[in-house]
Parts: sequence; structure tokens; C-alpha cells
Amino acid sequence: MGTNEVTILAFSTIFILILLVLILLYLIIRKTKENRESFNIKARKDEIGLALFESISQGKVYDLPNIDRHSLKAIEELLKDYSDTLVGTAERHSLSSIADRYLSEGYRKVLKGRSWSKRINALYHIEDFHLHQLTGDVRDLLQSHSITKEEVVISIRFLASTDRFEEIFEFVAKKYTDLTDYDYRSILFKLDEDSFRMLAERFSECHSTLQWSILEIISIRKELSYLSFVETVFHTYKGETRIRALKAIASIGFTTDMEQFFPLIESNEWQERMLVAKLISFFPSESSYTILETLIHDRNWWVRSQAAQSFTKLPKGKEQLKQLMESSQDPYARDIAAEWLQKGEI
Amino acid sequence: MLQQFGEYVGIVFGSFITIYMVLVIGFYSVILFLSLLQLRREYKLDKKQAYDEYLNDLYTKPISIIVPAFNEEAGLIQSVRSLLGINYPTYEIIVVNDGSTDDSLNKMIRHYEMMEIKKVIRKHVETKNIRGIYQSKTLPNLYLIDKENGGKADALNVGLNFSHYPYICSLDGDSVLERDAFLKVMKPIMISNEDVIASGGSIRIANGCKISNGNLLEVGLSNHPLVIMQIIEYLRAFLMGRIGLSRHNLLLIVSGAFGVFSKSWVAEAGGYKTTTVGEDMELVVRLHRLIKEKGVNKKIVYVPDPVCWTEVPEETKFLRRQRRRWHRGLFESLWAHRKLAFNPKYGSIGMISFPYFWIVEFFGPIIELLGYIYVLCSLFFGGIYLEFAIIIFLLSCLYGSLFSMASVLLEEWSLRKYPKVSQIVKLFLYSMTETLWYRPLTVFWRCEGIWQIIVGEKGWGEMKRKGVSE
Repeated sequence: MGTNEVTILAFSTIFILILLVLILLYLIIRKTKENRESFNIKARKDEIGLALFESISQGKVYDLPNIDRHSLKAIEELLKDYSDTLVGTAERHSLSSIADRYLSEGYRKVLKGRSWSKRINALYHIEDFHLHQLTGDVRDLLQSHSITKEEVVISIRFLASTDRFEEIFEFVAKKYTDLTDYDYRSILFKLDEDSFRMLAERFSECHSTLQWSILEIISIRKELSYLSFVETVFHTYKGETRIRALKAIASIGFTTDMEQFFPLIESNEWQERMLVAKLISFFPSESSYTILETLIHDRNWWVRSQAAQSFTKLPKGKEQLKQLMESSQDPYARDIAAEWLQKGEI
Repeated sequence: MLQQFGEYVGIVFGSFITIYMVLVIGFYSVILFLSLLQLRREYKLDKKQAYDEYLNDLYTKPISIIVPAFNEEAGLIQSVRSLLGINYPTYEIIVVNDGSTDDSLNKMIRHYEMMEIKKVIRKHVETKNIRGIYQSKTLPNLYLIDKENGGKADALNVGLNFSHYPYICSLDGDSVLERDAFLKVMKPIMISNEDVIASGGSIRIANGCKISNGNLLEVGLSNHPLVIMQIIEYLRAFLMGRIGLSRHNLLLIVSGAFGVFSKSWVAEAGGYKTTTVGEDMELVVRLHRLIKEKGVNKKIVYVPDPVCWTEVPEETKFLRRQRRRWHRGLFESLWAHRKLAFNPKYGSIGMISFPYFWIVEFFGPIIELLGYIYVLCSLFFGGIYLEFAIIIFLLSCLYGSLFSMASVLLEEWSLRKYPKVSQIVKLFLYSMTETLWYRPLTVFWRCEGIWQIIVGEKGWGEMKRKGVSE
């Protein structure tokens, strides 16, 4: 082997070794620093925790003994813990003002900075601490070209809690139309009652994902005051929107006129048949039993299962279900009846 | 003349191995680079914040957790207890007793006060017969199904048929989940509008950790060299390999020990295949195939944060069995879906994933074994062979140590499970020795796996567990 090659080999070995040692050194230094840092932060938290909590609960002004990196981090972590558990408006307010006093400036800088993860962390904190003073900065961030979807969602959600309906409407209905159901729901949850009502009034201007999210939220909140609205949606729209409106009606568990839904028993969509089976459990009448009896023999499992469940909610349902279990010719209906009859026992 | 010919063959062979290794290292470097980019971006991201939000949402999707159990009386009660403590709004646990011959069934019934119930089961997939269905009187979301023995895949299929919820998770009997693991593994599914149909988390090694009552108390590093090498191996496979592959929807493996799947997709794909020892990989391949054949835009992803701690073999005997079995499983999946390889119709799965798994993962051990033989022989012959031998050796050290250390780096940037400096130093020192002993061993075992394929050996081979929980 020539000397040349030996040299090259030797050099590459040394190069690899140096690289490895550098990585190792980096890892060791990093770990030591990190461990020390978390130790310091924890010590600060222990120091200031009690006084901070007292001033939040009593609405007093809080003075941080010394303002350095560790103390700020400690106060941030403590405030985060409190914000998860606090319920009172006064406490929330004093938490916000402490956060504003010590942390706002830092967040303002971070939002303009280049680190994506730091921006996200700051946005979450801004949202948790209700730092309305930073509304302008968040809005600036939304204008930036390089903004990612994660940032968009948290930013809009934060703005949604600050009562600016027109602006939010512009964002969710016009500017950002490619968010997921999930994102829209999380934003709409933050709207106050009036804003949400205004949004529902402009239902027809919304794209379908947003429409579905509005209906989902009404489903979750089971708000009776939206009943006539969802009934109208049910009658005017088609497809998925119609099914979701029906789902909202079934969740609310009330309708002014049950009979309007009777034709759905023969619907081609199993979801519609299932939802009728669900809705009918709120309306004990002779016809309810007959309809459920039809639906428990449905070809779709979900419809059968829902029909059996609805039986158990009606006053004379269990006896009827027992009869069905003994007399029905359909083994599937018998099985599902048996299953639901037993459910109450465990 | 003959000597010249011999020399010629030696050089050609040496160059072949060298080129092969350079290509493999090149491929891994690209993947490493992708993973580094991804994790660096999320460096210092407060993950807790990001996940808390999902817990509060009413819209977390319910999951059915399926725990197949075959003679797992040692750890089953503990595993179930660990599952009962998870942080997730709605879920059910379905323990499937796969005809155990030990006392698993009775222990479960006694411990969790289970009573037999009548239940209608929708048959998505054909399975062996069910002997009885039980539900706990005190914990209504805990079910136990007793069935005839049919293997792990069959047990999973029974769980699939029985499950009430739209997402199913397969979980090994003897593993411990971190409390937030489900929340984290479900996040991509929830936020993607159901574009993600399967999502897998990280598997870490429980040997050496302090675990009590199914809860992880302290992360530790085992003193057993074989275990430490496996830790490094897992770090590399998950943090380096899967992040890179997942980003481009190239993932072919969602670990059987911890993964969540959309039930409707699994049912449509036909459930778990009962005739392979690698049912987890086979299912993922089939799902990819289904996605491509339906022409829809669905994804299978890996998320590093959710962690499932599992026990790995500490003895050579069991590790050897495991590796042979894995290699057979790999072959069975690749062979059953061989038409995907180099088939442009299947996009990047056909053009990148499949060739990678064939060339690097499956045939790799053979070429590496030849490399080791070559290096050994060259010591006797010297001369030009020795040069190649040294290059090959250096390359494999580079491969072994550099990528291992890079994975430790990735770990430090992301999950940071090992709190002590000494643990990092230990991982480093061990990773330096990988090429000298551990790598050749695993290469040899995988080659044995190939031999088993050739002679047609089937079955799992016994796996001894001592139970991770105290």
C-alpha cells in the first residue's frame, strides 16, 4: 500500500474520531448545562411560588425579587400551572397582569424572531395568560409570509377570544379556508355567545368545512336556542351538511315536530336512519315504538344498535325489547336486543 | 494466470462491497439529514402545551386498545393496570386470551371481577372461535375475550371484530405506556381530518428502568451490554429511520408493540394476516397498497413523542430467535407484496421503500457477512485486499458509530429520556464497539433467518419474559 493511501486512511480515521469526540463533547456540555438550568429554575420556583400564588389569589401587586433568565422562566412555568387550575375571573385578571408585566416584552421579541418552536411556545403562553396587550403583535405575525399553519391556528384562536368578530370571520371564512374541522372547532369554541350567533347568521357565506364545524359546536353544546336554525339548515342543505344538521338536532334532543323526520326512516343514507332512531328516543309515543321496531330490523348494524339503545330509553321500551328478543324472526335484531337489555346490568 | 484471476476477483468483490456500503451510507445520511432538520425545528418546543390542548377537546376520538395475550400471566395484570391509568378521554381495553395454557384467563377474571356477557360481534374478519366474552363489573370499559388459540394476528382480528370504537391500537401484553402516549399518538390523526389512517409511536427499552405497578418511575440504563446495544439500535431505527421515512409517507413499519390504526381501513384491508410472523409490517404494506389502489391521499405516520416501554431479550439465545424471526417476517411481507417493488404505479412506496427494504434491509446482512469474511481473509493474503479491507472496516465503523452517535444527538434534541451525563457517555462508548461484536452477531443471525426461509422453517420460537414491572 502506498504511503499516500495510508495517509488518506489515517486522516479519515482521525477525522471521524474528531467528529465523534466533538459530538460527544457537545452532548455532555449540553446535558450538564441543561441539568443545571432546570435545577436553578426549580430552586427559583420554590422561592417565589408561594408569594406569587398569594398575590394572584388576593389580587395584590407582585414584585419579582430579581429579574433574570431563570426567574422569568420560573414565573412562566408557575403561571402556566396556575392558569390550568384557576377559575375565578379576578384571579385570571391578576394572573394576566403579572404575566404582562414580566413576560410580554420577551414574547414580543420572540414573535418577531426566527425560531419556529419559540414562536409556538410564546403563542401558547399568550393564549393561556390572555395577554390581550399583544393582540397587535399576533396580528402582525399573521401578516407575515412565512407563517406556518400551526401558528395561524393558535393566533386566530387567541384573537377569537378578544371579541373582534368581523376580523375573525374574515380569517376563518375567507382567508384561511384550508384548515381542518378540528382547527375550526378549536377556534369557534373561543368565540363568545354573541360572536358565535353572528357567525351562525352568516352560515350561508361560510365554506362547508366551517359550516360543519358550526353545526358540530351546536351539537356539543346542545343549545336549544339554535333548534330552529339547525332545522332550517336541515331542510335547505343537502349531503353531509344535512346529516350534520340532523346530528345536531338529535344531540339537542328536541324538535317542534317529530313527524317531519318520519320519511327519513326510508332514507338511503344509514346515518340519517340512525339519527332518526336516536332522536325518537326523546319522544315517547305509540308511533315511536313502531318506528324503532322497523329500525331494529335495519340492514345496517349502527342503525340496529341505535334503535335498540333508543328502546331502552323509552318508558315501556325494555319490555318491548324483551318481546322482540323472543319473537323476532331476525337473528341480528334478537342479538342486538339481548345485548342492550343486558347493558344496564353492569 | 490463476493467481491473476484470483486477484482480479478479489478486487472486483472488494470494490462491490465498498460501493454497496457507500450507497447505504449515502442513503442513511440523507435520512439522517431529514430527521435532523425536522427535530431541530421542533427543538425546545414545549410539547406539553401542544398536547394539553387535545386532552380538553371533546373531540378526541375514542380508541379500542387490543391486548393479545398468550401465556402472559406474569405481566398481564400489570399491563392492564398500566392501561387503566392512561390519560385519554374515551377508550376501552380488550384483552384477548389466545387459548393460553397458563392461568392468564382466571387471573384476569378474578382480579378485575369479570362476568360473562352476551354480545353481538360484527364479523369484519374471519377468526377462530370465541369461547366467552367477559366484562369487568367494576371497570365497564375493560373486556376480556377468551378464544381458541390461533396466534397473535388471529387474536388481534378478534379484538378488531369486537371493538366498539373507530380506532384500534394493538399493544403487546408486556409493555408499559407513558400516561400521555395515546394523546400523542392520536394527535396526527385528529388534526389531519382523518387523512392519517395509522400512526405509530416510539418503542423504548424497559430493561434497566424502574417500573412499578405498570408505571414508569425512573428511566435507567441497563448494565447488560446486549441491552445497551439494543437501546442504541432502537434509537437509530426510530429517531433516524422513521422520522425521515414518515415525513415522505415511506413508512413500511408501524411497530406491532404500539400503533394506532383506523378500524375501517384495517377491516377493509382484511385485518391482520395470520400466516406470517411479521403481521405488523405486512398490515402496513397492505394498507399502503390499498391507499395506492384506491388512489386516495392517506398517510401512515410515525410520531416520536409517545413512548411505549418494552422488554427486550437479555440473553443471546432469545435475541437470536427474535432476529431470525424478524428477518423471516420481513421477507414474508416483501415477498407477499413483491409486485410493488420497482412498480411506478405504487409511487414512492414502490420505487423507494420497497427497493430499500429489499436491498438494504433484506440482502444487507448477506453482503455484510461477505464483507466480514473478506476482511478476515485479507488479513492472510495482505496486499491490495488489505486496502479494501481497511476501507470496508472504516466505513462500517463510520456507519456504526457515527450514525449511533447522531441518534443519541437526535434523542437529546427531542425526547431527552436519559437524564444523566454518565448515561450519554455510556451510550457513546458502547456505540464505538458496535462494529466489533454486536453488528457481526446480528448480521449472522439475520443470515440464519434467510437460511430458515430457504429450508422452510416457520413458527415464532419461544420468547421468555420475566416481566418488566416490579
